[in-house]
This record gives sequence, C-alpha cells and structure tokens, in this order.
Amino acid sequence: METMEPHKNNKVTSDRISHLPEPILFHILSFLSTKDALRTSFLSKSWTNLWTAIPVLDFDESKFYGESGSGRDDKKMWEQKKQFADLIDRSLLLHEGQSIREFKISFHHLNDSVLMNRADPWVRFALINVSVFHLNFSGEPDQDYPKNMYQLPPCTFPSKLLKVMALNSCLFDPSVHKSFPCLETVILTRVELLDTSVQDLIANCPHLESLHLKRCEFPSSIIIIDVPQSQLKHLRLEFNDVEEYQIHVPSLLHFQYVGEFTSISVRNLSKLVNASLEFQDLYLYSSYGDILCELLNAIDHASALTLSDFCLQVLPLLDFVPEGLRESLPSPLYNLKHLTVQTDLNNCALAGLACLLRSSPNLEAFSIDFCYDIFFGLEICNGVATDEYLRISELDESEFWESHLLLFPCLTHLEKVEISGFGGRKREMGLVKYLLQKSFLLKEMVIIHEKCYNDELEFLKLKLETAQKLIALPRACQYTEIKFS
Amino acid sequence: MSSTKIFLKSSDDKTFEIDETAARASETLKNIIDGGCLDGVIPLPNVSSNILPKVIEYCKKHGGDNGSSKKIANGGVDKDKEILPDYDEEEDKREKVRVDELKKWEEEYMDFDQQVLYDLMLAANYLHIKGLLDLTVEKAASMIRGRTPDQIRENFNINSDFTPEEEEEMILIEDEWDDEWAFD
Repeated sequence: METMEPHKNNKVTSDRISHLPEPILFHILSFLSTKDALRTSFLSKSWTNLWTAIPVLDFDESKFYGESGSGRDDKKMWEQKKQFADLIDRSLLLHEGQSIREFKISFHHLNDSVLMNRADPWVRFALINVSVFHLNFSGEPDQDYPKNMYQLPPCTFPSKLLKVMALNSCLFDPSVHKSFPCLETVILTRVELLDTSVQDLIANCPHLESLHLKRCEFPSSIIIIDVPQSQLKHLRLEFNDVEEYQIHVPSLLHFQYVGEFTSISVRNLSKLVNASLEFQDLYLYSSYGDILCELLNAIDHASALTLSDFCLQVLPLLDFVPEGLRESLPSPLYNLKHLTVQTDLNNCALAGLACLLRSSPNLEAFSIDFCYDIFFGLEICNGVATDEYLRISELDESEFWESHLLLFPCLTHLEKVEISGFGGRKREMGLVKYLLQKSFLLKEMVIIHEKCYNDELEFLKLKLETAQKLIALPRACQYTEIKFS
Repeated sequence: MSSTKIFLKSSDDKTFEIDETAARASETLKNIIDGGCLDGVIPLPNVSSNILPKVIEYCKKHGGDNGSSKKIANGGVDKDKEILPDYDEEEDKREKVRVDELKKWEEEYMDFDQQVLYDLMLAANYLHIKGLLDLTVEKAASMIRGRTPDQIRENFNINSDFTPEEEEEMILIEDEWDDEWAFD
C-alpha cells in the first residue's frame, strides 16, 4: 500500500467516527457490552441516545463493579447497588416505547426490601416490551437461598412479545399473570413456586415448548403436572426439591431428569422420542430396581434413551428375592434404537448394562460415556447386599464379557458404537473387544479419547499404542470402521 | 473455477483488475456479475483508488468463503449431532494451520491508521463484504471497549459539544462511574 503509516503515532485530526452512517455506528455498538455502549452516551450530543438503539440490554452487576466489588463495606455496597438500580431506571426511561430483543438483569444478593421494590417496574417493562428476559437475583453460585426472595409483580396485560424467560432466585406465581401468548421457553432456577404453579404456567402459555426446572422449591413434596392439552415438547427436571412427580403431558417429545432417585410416574407419553434419566444418589435400596423398571416401561416409546451409572447399578436389583439378579426387563424396549450410558463400568453397572442390552432387541446405536468421577461410596441399604450382588462386584471384568457370549440379540443389527472418555483401560478394552467380535453388522466404532491432563507426549504415545491395539482386534464384520477422535 | 477478470473503476477513475471468484466475496459485486450487467468495467463511485486495492486484497484472500477466521474456527465438530461427521486428524491439522495463518494475515492486514479504517469500513458496507465489515467494526469497537469517555474522545478526536452545565452534570456522573465502577 502506498500511504500506510503506523497507526500508533498517527494523530487523528478530525472526528470521522461520529459522522459514520447510523447502521455502521449501530454495528459498532452491537459489538460492545451494555456497560461500554452506555458509556458512549457521554461522548457528545450526537452519541447521547445512539446506544439506545442496541437491541440487547445486559445489566450484570458483577460486570459493572468489576473486581473492586468484593470487600466493600456494607454502606458502600448499598450505595453501589442503589446506583446500579438508578442506572437501570435511567436506561429503561430512554427505551420507553421501544422494543428490546433481550433484557437481562443480574442483581446479586437482592435482599433489601427497598431495592426489591425498585425491581417491579423493570419486570413490568420486560414482560411487555421484551422478547428474551433473564432475571437473576442469585448470590454466589453455591450459596443458599437468599432469606427474602423477590416476588415477581402481577401483570394484568398479556406479555405479547415474550418468547424466552429465565428466572433465577425469586418467587413466581404464574396464576397472577394475565397470559404469555408467545412464550416458548421457560427456565426456572432456584425459584420458589406453588404446588400448582407448573400447571398454571403451562395453562397460561399456549405455545410453551420447553420447560426447565432446576433446584426449584415447592410447598409440598408431590408435584402433579397434568396438562393433556399442552404443546410442551421438552421437559427437564433437575435437582428440584420434590419427592414424587406425577406427569401427564402427552405432547412431550423429550424428557430429561437429573437428580436424586425419585418416584416419577408418567403416563400417556406416546410421542416421546428422547428420554434421559440421570439419577444420582448416595443410597441404594432394593426396591429401586422395580421402580426403575416400571418407569422404563412407561417411557418405552422413546427411541433414544440415556441412563446414568446409578441407573445401571439399580437395574439388576430385585425386591423380595433374597438371591439372584434381574437378567432382563419385564417388558423389552422394542422402540429403543439408541442407548447412551454414562458409567465407569464397575461390575454392578456391568450387570445392569447386560440386563439393558438383553432387553433392547432393536438397538442400532450404542454410546458409552466413560466417567470416572462417579461417587464410589454408594451405600447399600435394606438387605440389598445379596450374595449375588456382592459376588459380581468381585468378578474380573474380562471374565464378565466371556460369560455373556451371544446372549444379546441386538448385536445382530447394531450399526454404530460411540465411546467417549476412552482411556484404554482393561475393562474398556474388554468391552470394545467383545463388541467388535460379536456385532455382525457394525459399520463404525467411534473412539473419543479422554482429555489429557498432564504429560502431553506420554499421552500421545499411549493414545497411539491403544489405537494400534484396537485396530489389531478381530472383527465380526469386515466392513467395521474404527474412527479415532 | 474460471478465472474471468473483472475490472473495477474507483471514484477517481482508476481501473483495477480482480478475479471473478475473488469479486464474489462482495455481495454487491456478486449481484452485478450474476445480473449479467458486465459491461467491461464496474464503476464504484463511493470507493477511491486509495482504498480499492486494500479491498481487493481482502477479496483475493477470502474469495468464495466470505468469512473471518473466527467463523472457521468455530465450525468444528458438533457434539450434539447424533452422528459425528467423518473425522480425519490430518484434515484437522491442516484446518488449524489454515486458521492460524488466516489470523496472522488478518493481523497484518489490519495494521493501518484510523483514516484507512473508516474508508475500509465504508467500502465494506457499500460493497456488502460482511467479513471485512465485521473485522473493521470490531477494530473500532476495540478502541472503545473498557475506556473512559475522555480516553474515547481522545482516541477518535470527538469534541464534547455539551453546554457547560450539561458538561458539569456529565462530569459528575462520569466521576461517579470512575469512582464506583472499576474499569476492566
């Protein structure tokens, strides 16, 4: 280029940026955080209201204070919180009558009643003018519930624009809201609800497709979600304070559960495509096996199923039978095409896996996600420790696969195996060897190695060695491809 | 691909040559080419001969893909997909090298003064070259990010046109910000 001077020592002589066409200025502002965009309003008159054109308002208290936020004394902290609230007020005033695509507020430890009252206009604004609304009143990630929770004010107008709403750490009673005609996605985290709130919410949102409840609290321990008319497609329940769920949502396509072992009774899930049961618990009761079998039977329309290690360990347990383990499910999972398990392949999980494979006659894809951070100290309760269960825990895992030769009908049409978190351990190799040897139609086996945590060179060497070992293994199907990742 | 040559005429009547494939990085030029109105030379009355070679340099590098290095870097393996795309370690390495090389190229390419930045931004906007527009806009945004209003004014030579009273009020609020809110 002809006249290319280094920019550092080049003095700018005219203000060209302020005279750029508006679309370019908006483009620049859209690349800035709300804080930086706001600051441009102090530059000159032409900049004062420019930033209000940005479609995303993200007020995150922690980003505004920066690091100096910690170690503040109470009085100063209160001052800052007040200023932050002032700032949100001023910004909304400037945005009056405009629609904003996204409006996010993260205001931590909002347990002061004066500040709480100030949030009402923000929420009302959001419910009327915004299509994506995030409200986060939580404290530090691991902290307990704030003592006084903020309660969302009632809204007597329908929230016509709102499509996505995520609430964290507040009280929410959907029955006091007029309606949410366009709301499609709701994520509630640490929200205190009433027993009927979930049903009220679904009834108030005719287009609700996705509902995610995480660590929510309810007055009673039994939650009934009985909404035969809803459009709800995706339901995710995660560590809520609930002992029993009764779910009747016939429209459901995806169902996910993460948390302690809980009684979940579902009915009429004939559209279900995808189910994920990630029970994680410290206690193992013999009755759990039967409860899980019943649940698996109720979600047997799903073509894809994901189970946690705990599920696999629970599955072989038989109640009222002093000896013996469950060999297969009472009714096979005929619809199941893709099974995913998260496990470390301990012997008890192996017994559960065998039970599942035996009961999934039409399986086409099988994924194992090896996780080695599973809690080991599982406490076995109520006479579960049958001789058989204890015997199995002392078994040599390579023997295990030898002893189950040709017992799984699904192996005649299994087409794809995916193993992630692979580290070449003996039990992993045993399983891979077995699957390669017995799957006559296996097209591909994808191996995704676990992450390298220390010596990279050693790790690569090990990876290469295991790869060579794997490739040398005999295969039942000559077309089987092994892919590494 | 064919290497048909296209001729572009700058606002000050200088003519530059560019391959058709490279020219297609610009939506505007692509529409003209596809519209079949290729009458030898395409006049660009909004782009001067100072900046046009710089634009052509970008198009040559990006002819066909029309994206920045960021986009390519994000196009990796999608874990949510039920069936993983064919995986090839060699291909992955080549891809990584390509992205690194592109980043380095972008860095060198973007080393110019503010006047060029504005001209390039306007040209990218006029010619609808999204990758180049994002690149230049990001550079301008990076000169605003995390800075005080005074620093930004100095960076861009912006004159504050507030009345003394307004100015006073501004300074008050600004001070409040500076005092209370740590800058990143």
